[in-house]
Amino acid sequence: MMMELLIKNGFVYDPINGIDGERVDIAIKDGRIVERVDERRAEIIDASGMIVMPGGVDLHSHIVGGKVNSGRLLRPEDHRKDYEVKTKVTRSGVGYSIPSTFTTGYRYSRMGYTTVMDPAIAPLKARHAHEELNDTPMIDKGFYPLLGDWWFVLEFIRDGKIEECAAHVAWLISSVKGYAIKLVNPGGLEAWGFGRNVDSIDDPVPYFNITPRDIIRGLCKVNQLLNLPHAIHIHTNNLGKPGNYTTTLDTMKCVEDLAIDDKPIAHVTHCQFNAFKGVNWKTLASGAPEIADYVNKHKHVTLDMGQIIFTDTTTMTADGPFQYILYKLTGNKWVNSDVETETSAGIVPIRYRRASYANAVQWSIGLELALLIKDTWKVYLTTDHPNGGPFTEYPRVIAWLMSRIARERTMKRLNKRAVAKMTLPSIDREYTFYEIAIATRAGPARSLGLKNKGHLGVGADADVAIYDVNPKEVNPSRQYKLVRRAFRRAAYTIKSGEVVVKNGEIVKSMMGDTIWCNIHVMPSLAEDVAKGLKKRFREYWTVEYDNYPIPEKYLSISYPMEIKAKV
Amino acid sequence: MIILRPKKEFKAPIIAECISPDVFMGKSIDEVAKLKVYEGNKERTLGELFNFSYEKEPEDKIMIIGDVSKVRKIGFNMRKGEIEVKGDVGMHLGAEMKGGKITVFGSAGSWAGSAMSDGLIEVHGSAGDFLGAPLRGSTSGMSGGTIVVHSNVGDEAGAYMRDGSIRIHGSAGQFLGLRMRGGAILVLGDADSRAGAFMTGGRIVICGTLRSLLPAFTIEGVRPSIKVGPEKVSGPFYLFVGDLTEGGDGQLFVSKVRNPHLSPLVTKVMAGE
Ligand SMILES: [Zn+2]
Repeated sequence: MMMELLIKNGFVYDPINGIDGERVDIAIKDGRIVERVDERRAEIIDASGMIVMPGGVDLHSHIVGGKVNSGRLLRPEDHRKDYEVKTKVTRSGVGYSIPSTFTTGYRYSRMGYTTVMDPAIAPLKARHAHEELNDTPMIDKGFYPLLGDWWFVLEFIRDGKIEECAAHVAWLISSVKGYAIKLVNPGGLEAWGFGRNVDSIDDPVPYFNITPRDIIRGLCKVNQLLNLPHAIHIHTNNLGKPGNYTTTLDTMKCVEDLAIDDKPIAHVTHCQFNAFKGVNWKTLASGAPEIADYVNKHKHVTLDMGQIIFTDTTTMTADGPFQYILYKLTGNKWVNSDVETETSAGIVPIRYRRASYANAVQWSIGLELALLIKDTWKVYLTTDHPNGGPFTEYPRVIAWLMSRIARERTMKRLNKRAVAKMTLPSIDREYTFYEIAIATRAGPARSLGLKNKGHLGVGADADVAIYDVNPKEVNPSRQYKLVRRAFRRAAYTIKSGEVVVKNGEIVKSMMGDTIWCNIHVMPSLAEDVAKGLKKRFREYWTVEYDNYPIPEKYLSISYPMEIKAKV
Repeated sequence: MIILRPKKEFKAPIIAECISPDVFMGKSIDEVAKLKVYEGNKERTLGELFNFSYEKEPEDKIMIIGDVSKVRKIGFNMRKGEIEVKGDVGMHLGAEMKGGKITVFGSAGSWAGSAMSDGLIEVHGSAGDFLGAPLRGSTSGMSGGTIVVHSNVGDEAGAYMRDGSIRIHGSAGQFLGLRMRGGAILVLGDADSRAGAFMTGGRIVICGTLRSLLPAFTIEGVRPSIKVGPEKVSGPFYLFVGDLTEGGDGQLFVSKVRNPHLSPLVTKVMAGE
């Protein structure tokens, strides 16, 4: 029997429905937001003096999969310094920058988050990713398979067979139960298999005679043909290299003509890492103003911040060549791998330091992006967990966004030379709670095309976060510490209509859905493409074509989104 | 001074980081007896496991009489005062120690002086593996202080060492000074293979026989004697520099007389072959 809940007297921030801090009661029944419930029967939550928002939605956080797990193995010292003892409802767990699966779920839930997407899973490692998702409680979740360097994708694009490519991608995403198309350093990872990289979107990929531009455009078209709910999710070429902001601009420009209506078709992720100006680390500067200027003038792209936090964390991306460079820069222990014909990966621990010129500049870039892009619907809050810092530090980012004073206090402790060159001190803008609600839930939910998430309208999933901070009494600009504290530990988190967190502690453990796209293309096209590939799959992969798909029963709670493709 | 005597022979490991002068100081015996420790997965008080007696002087000293080889973390994070153990002691003795003195008349387990930054540990018996080395995964090793072991030590002594000194009167196991960046290790006895692996700085002196030299070290010359701290140790010593795979300039001094097996190699390199 599902309970009825009524959240009374809270200040509601629900940007998708245009509600900006008004006192609205939220009624919940059978896991959904409803018009009204019977007040005599329903459990009442008194949210007087508190903020009510839709549950947080994170569209880019590395929480599961091969490299996350290798990262755990690489860093026992990361576990030792941060552990949780089991309680009556929660399991024990470890890890600061790479928490174990259960702990990951609890920590998101404690912050009022209810949906999280892992953005980079090698399709071959999808089974492992699902096993970890099955062990990640409290949140709805999913992942994006890495497709920008997948051999058959590259071949189809080379041969100009976009419809066939679409049918193949549809098979792949549906088979591994993924959610969106992810590109990481498109073409560069394939080149890395030969110890090389690509240095611009027009640098040919060895042995394929196509360029990253062809891959980005090709997969963008595929994404449109398949009617996928999210845009293509791009980690650009040249990530982490001084001067790469031009690559980012080129990447955004190269799909400009493909836009239909005003729908975003490309999501440039953790943009901070690819908004570097300058020719080397000594002359590093922020390319955020140029990127923000472009984004302000165009409607086909969205971004997320990839904010860095001054802490000890772990970088992990599918960008093998970039991780190798990072290893060379830091001399830290590292992992690097090549995943057959699919992708690569690397892991390097890192400590971002306030005294470091480069790190201070990086810190300013993330915030400048968020503050210079005028339309909050285009830029979302992430740290590219754990690359820029663990997701548990989001409240710190919220405080920086909402308070100029918070930014100034941090700047006082940063590398002086970096601060002298920053644009950030001249930016007065401070986010409102309404904008925070966009950056942390409404925006990502809309970008992901999750229609039942990120808002509190009738019919929406009853995923709600309540924070103990009174927007009528607290001035976030001055009292940012109160805001930070409130967002660290939600007063209540409600998941699928049930109270799972109270006063920042888990009171009920539950398992969320695994959201994936079940894409339907024309059967004749699908069969044609499959027939051609089956034999070659045997030549190229260590897994048979017929064994590749992951059965739906493998997912603890499967939530397929049925998608009808245009082909 | 508080004197602790085990009430029984311990079977399960005991985690007792509270056994430290910093914690004991200013507490009555009753209060000390109430301090929490773990015996296996069971929480206990110190009073359940040890008998206590008290002597007025010296005020900041703890003495343990008996076998505490199952007791871990004695003197953890200790900053001042003195611990004296008459018997064998368990793992993590004086781990992350920041000052004071620990003396063991017996042997110590692994990770004695792990990542310590100051103070003195003297073990009259042998010590286990990872002497002064940090726990697995961490790259922050010993950054100061002194460890003296009168008998043999296990593998990876001084791993990740940055400063301070280790003096081993007996012999050392494999990977002596692994990934060492600074400080000095003196071994009066022999050393097993792979000494100085990945070292980038600091100084290792082996007065006995080094079982085999890593190929990533090159000969710099022969030195008649070498200073380790205030002490002058007489040679002659071969001076090797490495680990070249890490671009390191760590110094590895190896007794010339006790290592005739290295002489053909040295001759070849010196001759430019
Ligand atoms: Zn990422």
